[in-house]
Amino acid sequence: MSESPVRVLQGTLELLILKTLAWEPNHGFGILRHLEIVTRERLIVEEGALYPALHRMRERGWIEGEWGKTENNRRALFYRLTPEGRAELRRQHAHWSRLVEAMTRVLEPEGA
Amino acid sequence: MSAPDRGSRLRDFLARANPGRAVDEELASHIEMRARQLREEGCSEEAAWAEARRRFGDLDGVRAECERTDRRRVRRAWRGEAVSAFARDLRFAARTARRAPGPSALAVAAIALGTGVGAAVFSVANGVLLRDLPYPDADRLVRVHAIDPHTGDRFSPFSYEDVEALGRVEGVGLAGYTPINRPITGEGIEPAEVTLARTTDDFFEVLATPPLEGRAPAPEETREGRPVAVLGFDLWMRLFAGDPGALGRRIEIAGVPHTVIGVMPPRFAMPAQASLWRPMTPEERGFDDRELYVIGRLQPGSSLETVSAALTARLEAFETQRGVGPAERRSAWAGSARDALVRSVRGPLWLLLGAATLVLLVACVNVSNLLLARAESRRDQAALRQALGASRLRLVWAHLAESFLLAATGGTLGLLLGRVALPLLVRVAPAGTPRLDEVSLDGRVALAMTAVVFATALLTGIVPALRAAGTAPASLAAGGRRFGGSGARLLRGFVGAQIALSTALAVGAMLLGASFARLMRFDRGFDTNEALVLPLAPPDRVRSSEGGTLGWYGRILSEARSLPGVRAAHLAFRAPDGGAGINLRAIQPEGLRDDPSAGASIGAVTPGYFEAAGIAVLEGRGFLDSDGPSAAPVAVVSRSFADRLLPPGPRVGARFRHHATRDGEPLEVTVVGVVADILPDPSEPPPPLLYVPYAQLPFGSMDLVVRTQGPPGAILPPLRERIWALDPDVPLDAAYTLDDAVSRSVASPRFYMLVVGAFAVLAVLLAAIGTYGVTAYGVSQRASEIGVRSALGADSRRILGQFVGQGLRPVVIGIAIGLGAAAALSRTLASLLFGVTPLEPWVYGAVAAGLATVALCAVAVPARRASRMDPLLALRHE
Repeated sequence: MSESPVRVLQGTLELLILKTLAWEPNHGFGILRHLEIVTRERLIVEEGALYPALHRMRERGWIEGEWGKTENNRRALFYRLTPEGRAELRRQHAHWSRLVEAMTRVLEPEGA
Repeated sequence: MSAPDRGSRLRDFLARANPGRAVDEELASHIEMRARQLREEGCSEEAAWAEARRRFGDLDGVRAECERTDRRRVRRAWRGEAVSAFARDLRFAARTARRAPGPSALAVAAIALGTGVGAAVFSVANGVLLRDLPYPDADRLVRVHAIDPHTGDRFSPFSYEDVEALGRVEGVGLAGYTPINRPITGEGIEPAEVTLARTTDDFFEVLATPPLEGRAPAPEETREGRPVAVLGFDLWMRLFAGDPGALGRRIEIAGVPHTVIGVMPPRFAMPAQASLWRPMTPEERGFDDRELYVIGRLQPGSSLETVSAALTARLEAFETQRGVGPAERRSAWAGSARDALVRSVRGPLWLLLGAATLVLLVACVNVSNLLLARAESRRDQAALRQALGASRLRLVWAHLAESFLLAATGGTLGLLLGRVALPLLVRVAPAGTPRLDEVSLDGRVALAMTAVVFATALLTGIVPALRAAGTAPASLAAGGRRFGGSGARLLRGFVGAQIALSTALAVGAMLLGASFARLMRFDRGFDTNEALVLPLAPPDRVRSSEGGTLGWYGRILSEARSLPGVRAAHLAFRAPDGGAGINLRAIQPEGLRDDPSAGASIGAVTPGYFEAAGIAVLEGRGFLDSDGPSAAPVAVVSRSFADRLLPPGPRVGARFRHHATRDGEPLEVTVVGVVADILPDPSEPPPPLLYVPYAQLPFGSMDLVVRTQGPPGAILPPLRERIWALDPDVPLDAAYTLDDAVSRSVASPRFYMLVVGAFAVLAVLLAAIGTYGVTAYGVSQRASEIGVRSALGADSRRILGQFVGQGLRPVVIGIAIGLGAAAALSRTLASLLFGVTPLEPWVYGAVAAGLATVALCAVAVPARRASRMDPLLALRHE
């Protein structure tokens, strides 16, 4: 863990949220914590960006919110993927894969 | 993590109302969870909180942004949800309605009838009472009246001098006019008798309507009373077939040549019956006869109140100046010109509107009935939906959708129906009704009816909807479908309400009908059968011709008498339907009892008139041919004249004097007979009448009264031809039969009777359908009970009796309430009733009996079905 953490690329936060919620419904902090743990805290997601993104996505109908209780019996707003959200995840994931492939071709040309 | 908690729905709802609080709570929970994580990683309590806050960063900014997004989302969601939910409810309602096409069609028909009747009547009220008069800035047009301290008449007219004096009042421009009937003749024109208005200065300025063709009289033309004439549109069409070449043409008004200078647009009607306007002549201005009606235009910034006060002050000052005592002085007031025009029909029209509202209410209750019955039978369904989590609000809304659907369909049909009914209503309306040509189904009516339809939907739907939504889910388990309890009570209440409303309406209709019957049977004191009346006026040149007017009338009379089919022909001023002649004061009588309130009149008739007119001679004799110009002056009086005005003593042989002589010397007259009273207007007491022989006191214009053998209309063409052969300039277009005159005089009562009667029939029909429906529903809901009972051997007559008794209870209560309401409301009818009091007991009795009979039939049919039900079938019904 010697490498210093990187910030989330612009435009990829939504994809990360969608992917996280594809596992199970979760609240904002849960999503954040999931990303921190999965990336071993190499990826920095800022709260200041996370919450506006969540609310925007909810407005677009990709996710829905419902109040529930955490395992510590704390009230929290749980987000869940909608069918539209699932479709969006597939779309954004495909887009990301194409982007990475293209980037890789440029940066690491085969046979170089 | 656990499932969403149970309070979530409520909190979600609250969050909708206040998104800020939800965001606060979400962010707070985040910070708390972060702090907990940090604590678990070993931070101190304080440090954990501080770090959690720090990591979050710009809390306020994030919160503001999230809130904005949420508000937008919630707004959209509400909109979308409401629309889609309503659409869903409407679809559901349409399905429900289709499943029971009979009752649904009935409900739609009831609402269509109710709103159709309402739309037609409201169109008339709107066109006549509410819409502005067809003049520019008509809301500033006023009519000015004097209040006469003697008679208490609040609508008395003015003399020319009055108008001149009042004209100087600030804040209002005034003009006067006085209508009169005059013959119009001219080259190439069929002579016509028209109503023309003689106008003072500024008449056309006050009305501010530009002429359609030509021009209005110039100020100097009005001031000097030049012989110019402005034609009304209809007269222009009639005389000149709409030819603009009419401008500049010469026409003769009662023999005086006038030049046509202008044509007014259609609907320019001040006063209503006028079809020609000309300036008052200087001579006419000189008469102090208080015949001028005054209109005015309020100037900006002045009000009716300030103008009325100023007019009164001016009039009082003017009369003081002329030496009129304080008790004699008149005051003046200004009121809306429109209200003054429609004064006579305002009460009756509101009455019709009230009657139409009653019909609509009955229709509404009827639909309510139906919906309630349907909702009762669907209570288990409502309970199920509620058990499945539908909110009560949603359920109420779902039921309302059904009534909205029915009301909207019915209302649309109703508007169409109104469009069809309106011309019919206008056609049967009495001819004299002001502004009838302006009646149409316009935007205001459509808007009002839309509002009515929505109100109808609420009115019909709310009770059933609340009942359905109020059903506790527990009732499902209890086994649901039972007719009884509060639902049945409500249904019976609705039956009672329908019956009460239609009873009240039926009483009104019966009162009007009874009054009309009295009116038709009323003996007016003269024979109206087979009688033709031709108002005549000799052209001016006749006076100076050989034999004068007496000779002219004599020739016409002998022509008329020689015509086959004529039994008798007489001259009278006026024909009996016209009632009075001219005011008795005109001949300045002496030696009669002084009773100015009697309103006595004098008229002239030819010998044999009383016999021919069917006016009974009670004492003495009628006029004879020997009562000629040079014979002893004689008179015949009517019974009420004899009672009130002749000096005490024997009537035949009584003497009095009058001054209607060429030299002004008094003339002594002997009363030779007493005749029966005539009552041309049944609602007025008989006018005391003094008759003189036409030969002894000739009037200028006389009515030719012809009694015919066979239909009087058939005699008119040959009679016309003969008179025109004698003198082609006589207008004969005002001829009428006495029967027509009488039926015209009862046109208004007939109209109100017909319309209110039709409404009452509708209401009773609807109420009967409602009563039938509720009883039939009760029978169907209790089919199994009936089955069990008849299977156990219950007497079918007892079952019948029970259902009839139950069905009739609300009917009886409804009739009682309806009679009470009618008794309270019928006072408003009093002014329209003739010979019937508003509380006429037999009318109330007849209505009660009639409604009870109708309701009994409506109840008996389903009750009979119940008593004859096959027990097996009935049991299987469940």
